[in-house]
Amino acid sequence: MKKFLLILATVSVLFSCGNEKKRRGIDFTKLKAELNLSADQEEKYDAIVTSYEENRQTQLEELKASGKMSRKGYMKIMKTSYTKQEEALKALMNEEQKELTHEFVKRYMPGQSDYSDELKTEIVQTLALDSTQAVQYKAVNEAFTKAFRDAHDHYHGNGEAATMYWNQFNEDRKVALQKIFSDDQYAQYLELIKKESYRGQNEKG
Amino acid sequence: MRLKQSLFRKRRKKESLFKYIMSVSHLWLGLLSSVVVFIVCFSGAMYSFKTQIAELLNYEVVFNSQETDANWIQPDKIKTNFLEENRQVTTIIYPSDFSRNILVAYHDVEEDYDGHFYIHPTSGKIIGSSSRSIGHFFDLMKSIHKNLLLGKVGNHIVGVSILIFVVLLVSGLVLWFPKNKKQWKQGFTIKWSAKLPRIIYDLHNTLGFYTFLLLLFISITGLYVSYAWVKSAVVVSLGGQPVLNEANAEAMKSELSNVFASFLEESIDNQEEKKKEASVSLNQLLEDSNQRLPYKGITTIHFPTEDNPNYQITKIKQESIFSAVVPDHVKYGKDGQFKKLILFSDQSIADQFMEVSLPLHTGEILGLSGIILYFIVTMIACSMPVTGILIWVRKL
Repeated sequence: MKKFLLILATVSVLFSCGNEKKRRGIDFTKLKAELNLSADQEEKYDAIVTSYEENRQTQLEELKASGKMSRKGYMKIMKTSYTKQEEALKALMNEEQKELTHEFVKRYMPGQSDYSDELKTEIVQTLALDSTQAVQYKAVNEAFTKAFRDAHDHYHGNGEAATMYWNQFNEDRKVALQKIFSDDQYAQYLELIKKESYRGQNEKG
Repeated sequence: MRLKQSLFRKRRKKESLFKYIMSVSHLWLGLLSSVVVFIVCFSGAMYSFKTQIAELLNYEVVFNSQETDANWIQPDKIKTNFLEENRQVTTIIYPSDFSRNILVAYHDVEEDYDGHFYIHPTSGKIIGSSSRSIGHFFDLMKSIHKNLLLGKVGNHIVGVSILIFVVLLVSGLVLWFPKNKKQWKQGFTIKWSAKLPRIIYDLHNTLGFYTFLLLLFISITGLYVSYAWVKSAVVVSLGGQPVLNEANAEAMKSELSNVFASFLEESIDNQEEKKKEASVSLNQLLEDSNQRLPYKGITTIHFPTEDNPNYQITKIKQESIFSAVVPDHVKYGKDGQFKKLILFSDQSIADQFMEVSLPLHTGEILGLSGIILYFIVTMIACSMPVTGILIWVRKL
């Protein structure tokens, strides 16, 4: 009997001492490994990352304490902070490192399921969309975002299902865009989206 | 030795094989899941009063203690008052009666931040914002409830334990089922005059019976949130769409394309709506929505945003303590033209269930009375592993 109670107690302690995994965010340690920084750059890089990390934590703590924690509020803090952090990091980097940092932050920005605004702007410019096409292109992208978000109740907590929904709605988006774009524009579009072919493939649900 | 005998006891004379299996599995599964079930139920019960405690902490701003006349301050007046301070109103929440203040959410144009104020329901005077919170405590309770602070692994431990709990509820009901008239009476009452072991047994047996249905419901709605296959099974059984997977991908393709097409239609409509510039009388919109939804309730006015260029008025009925807390919506264009009335009762059962699955799990669907009922039932669930182990230990 004593043994049983001991096991129970141990299990309870294990449960209460466990640490919750960190919230989703950008892994700047991973980026650092890719950047080939000099010793001086590394020191400054670490200082910036730590400073922004602490600042984000403080902001999130304040948001939590206000009792008004929402996805929208959380994302606003994260996106604003990461954008400013990217600028601060780029100030100490060479061109190649800047490019790598920009792509990395863009790729792993929290809440960014769809193609980046940067890519969407590039598509509008490269395809030389007229004003009607640009409005329609925006509407199709909005429909994609809303359809994917609306299906959240179905794929919540299931990354595999989330990816399947993303791919399905992306196919529907392509069909809609094919009707708006000329053949040349559509071919250009397919080429341009390859830049962010990772989108939707690692959804966490 | 006695522990081994207890865990692997032989079938008693006259005990059916079915009851023997139920009895042994109830013991094993109960012991296996006891700690997790206790923690999950306790943290869930603690979390249930989050909103009410937050409101009590901010009592003087949330509740109206000043004199009021019988007229609500109109939304146009609220909007003008806030604009004078360079604050763009994003949402106004009118409570169902004058016992509470109106909540106004805004965006400060100069400082570029979002905030909120409670204002007096008739004068519109700013009372303050709800600044006191014990959000950390409730966040901790929620995390323990969902994953025992163990991330994904914890999610699975909780999920499996609740699955076991469902089996325990069913096997418990089988074991509770009385054999004769005397046992029927015992099964429905707690004999407080008896000795402690009997009281403990009655607490486990009788309370388990009374809370069976509600605990089963709470467990299933909890599993619905944790497991895609449970969600899929529940939604499909209610006539809804299953979760997309490799097996049904082809079959669901056209259905999802239709979903996309309806969103596209709405988006194209929204692009047109964004171009409109018109001054809208919020007072008229509110009056119109009250005519379309003629009941007493909490009314929320959502202002147009970049994503959604429409006005939306949402109303939640508050007519009796047991009325279900479900929302009805009225949509208006940017120019104030009526667009759509979306009644909760008009949705399919599957969509209704998906919309209210969380309040169904927390009891909020029935308002404060539901939360209190769920709290009591969850605390009883908390006591089940304790009384169960005490009954077992005594038998050792």
